[in-house]
Amino acid sequence: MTLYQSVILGSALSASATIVVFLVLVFRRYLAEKSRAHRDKRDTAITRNYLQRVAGHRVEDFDKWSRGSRRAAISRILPLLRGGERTRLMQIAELDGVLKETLRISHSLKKKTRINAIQSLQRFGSEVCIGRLREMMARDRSQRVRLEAAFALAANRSLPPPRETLNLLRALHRLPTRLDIALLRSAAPIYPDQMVLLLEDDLPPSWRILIIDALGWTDNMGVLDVLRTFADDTNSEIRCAVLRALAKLGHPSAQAWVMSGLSDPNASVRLQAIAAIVGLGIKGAVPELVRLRDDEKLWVRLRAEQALEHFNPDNTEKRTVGTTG
Amino acid sequence: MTWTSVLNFTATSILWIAFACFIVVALRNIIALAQLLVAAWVFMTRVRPSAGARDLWDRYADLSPPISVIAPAYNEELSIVQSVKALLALEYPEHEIIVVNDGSKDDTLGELLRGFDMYETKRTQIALLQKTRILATYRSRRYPNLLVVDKENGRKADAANAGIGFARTPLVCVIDADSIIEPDGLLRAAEPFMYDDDSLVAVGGAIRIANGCTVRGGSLQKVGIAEEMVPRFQIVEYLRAFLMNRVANAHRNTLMLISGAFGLFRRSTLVEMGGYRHDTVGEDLELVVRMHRFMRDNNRKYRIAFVPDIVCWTEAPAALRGLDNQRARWQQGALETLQRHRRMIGNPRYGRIGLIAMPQIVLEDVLGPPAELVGYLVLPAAAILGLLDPMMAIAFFFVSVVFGCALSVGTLVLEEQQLRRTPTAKDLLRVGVAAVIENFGYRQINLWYRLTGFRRYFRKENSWAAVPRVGFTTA
Amino acid sequence: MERMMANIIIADDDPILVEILKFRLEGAGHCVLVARDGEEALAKARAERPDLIVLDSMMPIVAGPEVLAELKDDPELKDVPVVMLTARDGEADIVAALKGGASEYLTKPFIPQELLVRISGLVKGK
Repeated sequence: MTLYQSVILGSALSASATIVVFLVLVFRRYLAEKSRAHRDKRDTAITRNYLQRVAGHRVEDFDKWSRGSRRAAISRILPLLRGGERTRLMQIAELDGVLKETLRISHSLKKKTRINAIQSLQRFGSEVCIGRLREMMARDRSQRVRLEAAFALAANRSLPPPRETLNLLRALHRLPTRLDIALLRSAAPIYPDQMVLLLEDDLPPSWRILIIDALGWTDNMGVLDVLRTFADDTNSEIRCAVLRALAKLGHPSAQAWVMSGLSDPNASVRLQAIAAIVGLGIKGAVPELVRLRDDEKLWVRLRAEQALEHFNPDNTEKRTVGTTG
Repeated sequence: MTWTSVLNFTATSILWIAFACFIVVALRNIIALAQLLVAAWVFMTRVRPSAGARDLWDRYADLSPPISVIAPAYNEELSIVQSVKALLALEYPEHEIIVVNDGSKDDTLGELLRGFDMYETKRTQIALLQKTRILATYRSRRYPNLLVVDKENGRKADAANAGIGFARTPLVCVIDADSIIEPDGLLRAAEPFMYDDDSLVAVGGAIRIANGCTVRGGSLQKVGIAEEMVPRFQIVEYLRAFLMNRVANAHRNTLMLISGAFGLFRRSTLVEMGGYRHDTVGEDLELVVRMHRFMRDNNRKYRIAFVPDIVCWTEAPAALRGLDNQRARWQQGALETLQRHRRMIGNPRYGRIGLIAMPQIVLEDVLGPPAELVGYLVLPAAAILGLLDPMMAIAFFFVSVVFGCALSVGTLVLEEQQLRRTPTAKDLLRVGVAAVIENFGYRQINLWYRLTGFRRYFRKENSWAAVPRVGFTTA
Repeated sequence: MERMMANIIIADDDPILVEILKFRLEGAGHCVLVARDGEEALAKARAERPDLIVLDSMMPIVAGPEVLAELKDDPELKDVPVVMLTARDGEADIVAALKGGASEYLTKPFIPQELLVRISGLVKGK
């Protein structure tokens, strides 16, 4: 066979192969469309069954559906409900072995399937689920799966203590991302003391900033004293994080402190202070904001202007121009 | 010189031309196949952002970087109010809409002022990137996150630059006024920033064709497939471009084009670079190429990402008339960009951009179209004259057309397997049919349109020739 | 009987959601009609003159807010109370729904008991 012949044959074969695969997919789609009505009907029936049981009725025929289809139906019902009915529904589903099915697939070899299982575990949120999620966060071989398990735990407000979280996610050896900030913030209200202790460790500066920021989410005014020790830190980003935390804590004693941030030599700290003042609604800062309208940095001037508008919305010039054009 | 030697010479050159065409076309398709395989691998290992991450993001909404959506508008009085309403309703914790009225001749501005109850305001422009004059800025009494900038007429690049200059947020999203953004398009596109360690400078997203879809009030209600064949062919083309080419390129950090219909950028980088260039018809390609150049010239660590989720829908030309102009313009833009950044081509200083991505654009946009078109003429002719093995002419046809089918249908397989955004099995089959027959005629017509782009490019070159050629001789 | 029986149209394309609502409302003695999309909802509303309509804001063919607008334009239907179902963070949707004349809104995920209380309030208040 010459080169050209093999080129011809190769092209023809690859084209026919892809077309065959494509037709198979079209057919699969067609079947799915056909069976959608059937699936909807089945899921509706399962839903009705569960609702009846939640309402305390006795039902007989719930064994006729497989665990897989019950799991599918439950995963459609749960996102629609909240409150006590949801809790009862989950308890019943757990008794039915739907949870067992989810736990089984959380051991799948496929990363995607494990992540799907994490989402179901997150929705169930029962003790067994949290246990399994913690195990996945600690031991799964994929970093991504561990991270997803951490998100799911955070969503259920049951992350492990912050030091352990950071270790499990091998966080300290890389730069933090916005989602790391979110994780630490969601851990903060559960472990305020551990957060404070963590600050005594030898942390990379970028992570120290994150932990100070997270202190704002502890809802614990005890951390104010810790924050105070960082208020005059030489690192301007730490001073920013302190202001963010203060604004979030919203304790009245922080007011004077935030005000002093307006005169910070570093422009980004001044910006953060303006944001904190808007967040805390400190009207007394208006004269200071007026002064900052002449700040040397454009961004500070703009934000000060915006903050003034926020405190005094009617004072700005509003001419009606709606009729021109 | 004898008659025979002339004949011999002609025969040899025809043979060489035939071989060259064959090699260029084969090379293009081999690269496309490699891209398809890379894209398939990316999709297979991709993990969709989970509910857990979403939940966290919802709870700490201040962590998602605020975005300014820049919508340049020119003569859009009929649709502008609806489009802006749809933009205001996008799902995102904090976004501002900056509509730039680019000196419309109709009542675009009046519609905006009345529709949103606007008043004139003095908003400071942070960076002056546009070449034309700003006439006024307006804010709405009802929507605090809407700003309208009225300016003298320029090009889209100029209007976008003006808007970027007014933006105050860390990210800006530049769109076309007629782009229909997916309700969660901003969220999807901003997701890479959540996992980012400050090296990400731009994100592109997949764009689909809105023809045949039901659009109401500036937002997409129902996905559909157009009745005409030309938009259907373009669906296939867009899939090839976005699911195959861009996904594969972004995976190797060599994404060279973020479409003007939707692009998310770090504001500070755009301002540093001076925004879009005004003197090219392909400002979106030029911007990303220049971004690579800028970041590498300054030795900065950077990344340009692509999200294969659909972020935006755009109306495509419904007939060949209209398409011809669009394709010629794209071609001209590509040539202008290559001309301007020709020093990057093959330059090891620019790493994989200089050594791989730029030569790939040369192959795709400079050598490819003429080679394929010439090949269609020369190879059969040479085979008939007995100059070359007829099998070679047939092989050429198979490589360009039959293998082209394999690639197009292969992309559709990828789409159906991973994204599944075709409404029904019947529609899927229709697009599949389009994917096969686009290789018999449509693609060739497009090649012809692209040659028009070559012509325009050279004509423009000639008109420049009269002007002293500053800077052209140093290359 | 103290409770008033009402004719209620539920317009939603998610059969599971419809089932949950139907179960609760029928359990409370109401009579429920189901529409799978906006168009069907409008047609049924015109034919049946219900006492109340539950509208999903995201529906195929004609979306919730447009159905609402059409209902409010119809002189014979404009007084029928409408409960709009919206996504959790659809702040803009909620405002638009209330401005458009919806009597109540409910965000997904919802507490079935809450819906029931709101609906009986609306039916009584008529």
